Amino acid sequence: MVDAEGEFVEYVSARLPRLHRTAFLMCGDAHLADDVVQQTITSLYVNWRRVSRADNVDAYVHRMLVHKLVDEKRLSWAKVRLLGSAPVPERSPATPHDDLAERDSLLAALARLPRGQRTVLVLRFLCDLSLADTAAAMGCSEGNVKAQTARALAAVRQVLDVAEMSARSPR
Amino acid sequence: MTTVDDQRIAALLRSVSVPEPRVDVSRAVRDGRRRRQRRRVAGVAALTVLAGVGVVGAVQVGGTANSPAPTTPALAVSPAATGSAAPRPPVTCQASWLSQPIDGPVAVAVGVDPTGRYVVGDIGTGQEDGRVVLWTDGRPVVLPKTARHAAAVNASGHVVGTDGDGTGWVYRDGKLRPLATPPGFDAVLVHAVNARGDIVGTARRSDDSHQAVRWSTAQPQTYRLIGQRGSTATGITDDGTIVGELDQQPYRWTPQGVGAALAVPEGYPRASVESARGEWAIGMVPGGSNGGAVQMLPVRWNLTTAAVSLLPFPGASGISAEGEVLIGDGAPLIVAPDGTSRRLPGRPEVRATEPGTYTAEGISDDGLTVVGAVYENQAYRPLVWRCGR
Repeated sequence: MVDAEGEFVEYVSARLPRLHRTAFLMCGDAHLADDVVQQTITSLYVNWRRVSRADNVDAYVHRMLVHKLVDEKRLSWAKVRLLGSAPVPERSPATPHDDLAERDSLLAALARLPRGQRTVLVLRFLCDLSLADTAAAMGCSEGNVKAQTARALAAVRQVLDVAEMSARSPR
Repeated sequence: MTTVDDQRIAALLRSVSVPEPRVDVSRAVRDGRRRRQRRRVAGVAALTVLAGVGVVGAVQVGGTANSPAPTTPALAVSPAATGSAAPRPPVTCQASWLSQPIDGPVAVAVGVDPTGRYVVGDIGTGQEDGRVVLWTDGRPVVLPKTARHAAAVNASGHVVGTDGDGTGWVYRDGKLRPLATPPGFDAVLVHAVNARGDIVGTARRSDDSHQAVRWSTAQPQTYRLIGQRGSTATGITDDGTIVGELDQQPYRWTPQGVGAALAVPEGYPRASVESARGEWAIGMVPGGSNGGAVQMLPVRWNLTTAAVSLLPFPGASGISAEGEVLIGDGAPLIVAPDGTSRRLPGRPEVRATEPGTYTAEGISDDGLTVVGAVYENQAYRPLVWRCGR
């Protein structure tokens, strides 16, 4: 029992930054990200003996995190997943400390995306989830994921290209 | 999309600076230990769970209390009011599964009509075949493949929704028909349908300018724009009163199209409206911020008296014609206008007890039918609660 607990603490401590990054980039809310990660690792502790025997513990934990976030946001997603009309904080709560223009722009671009679009971006490009897994995690169709990914990429690319152009242009 | 783009975005997502996590591993161990003990209790106390006011229900409230406490407003109505003596006869509820005509790991009920007879849901395998399902008295019918993402169903069993490409649709008497997208707009988002067959939603242009729209189930190709540019419509009552927003402020229109603002709770900058039934509407306000995080709080309006009240819960899924608010997050709860509340029971065979195992998405006009889903073993199953007095 004590050994299992030690294993759990070691595992969670190593993965915490990545889990938190995923949660934060998906919801754009530092507090909610903390909350969801806390809930996820609590559930993980409860099920640790079973989960730690899984072939791919990381993948399992990832799904738990996504589902916790989906549960938190289920109502809002159902309403905003297509066009994004639910109220969202007007400014990104994150204050990026990074001075690279491109990184700032990425956070700004994410903050402006409807929640569904930023979720597909994070799930597909940060978490490397497949189209099918992303659709299952979000409770929507693959077609919807594809459509949202395309829209999100277009929006993000536009922001990044503008940032890149202004960085390159002689001043 | 080029691979280089994908890689660049992936690299940025990995490297962009994010706030420091404030997560407590030792607390997870402590809470987890307690929850393990409760789970043992839960197995034994299945009957108590059915009664809906037992140990396990209370535990789930404790679980959701993890969400930011400082933003909860101090109000007369609080989760602590649960179980306080109500003058009305006690309501008992029973949860039962909705049958699944097709397989899929994500099978959820998303709405119920005001009478409780029709339930609409979504069953997806994560493949390209997620389908809308309409249960009539519990008997499921799978809608045509081109109907996606149902939004609502009315007392005649007419279902409305919006496809992935932003085209509205109505399913009526076995036939699926598209809703007209008003000229000059690129997409619509359909939200609600009332007993008369009036459908409301919002039309959008690619520059994100938008306006509220009304259609009818009888003539899906005709439409009427409501209000002015910057309006949205999210709900419609049976007398034709439309609720929505105008420039991010809560708003209502009479059946004749005369608009008036709805009150924003004092001290809040704005509010959204989500749905309306009878003389009631619900929505949300941005709650207190804590370290830059904003928590949305549910709000209830009485459309007759224009009174507005804040509800100290994490989020509201729906409202009955009697003003009972369905709190769908964590452990589903119904809160009456007088502040009394009742928790919905679980299914004895569901072992998961963490908040979010049960979600509730829709409530009938009498508050006695609620629909939602259970998430367990990485799959969602659709559920209906039937209650009686």
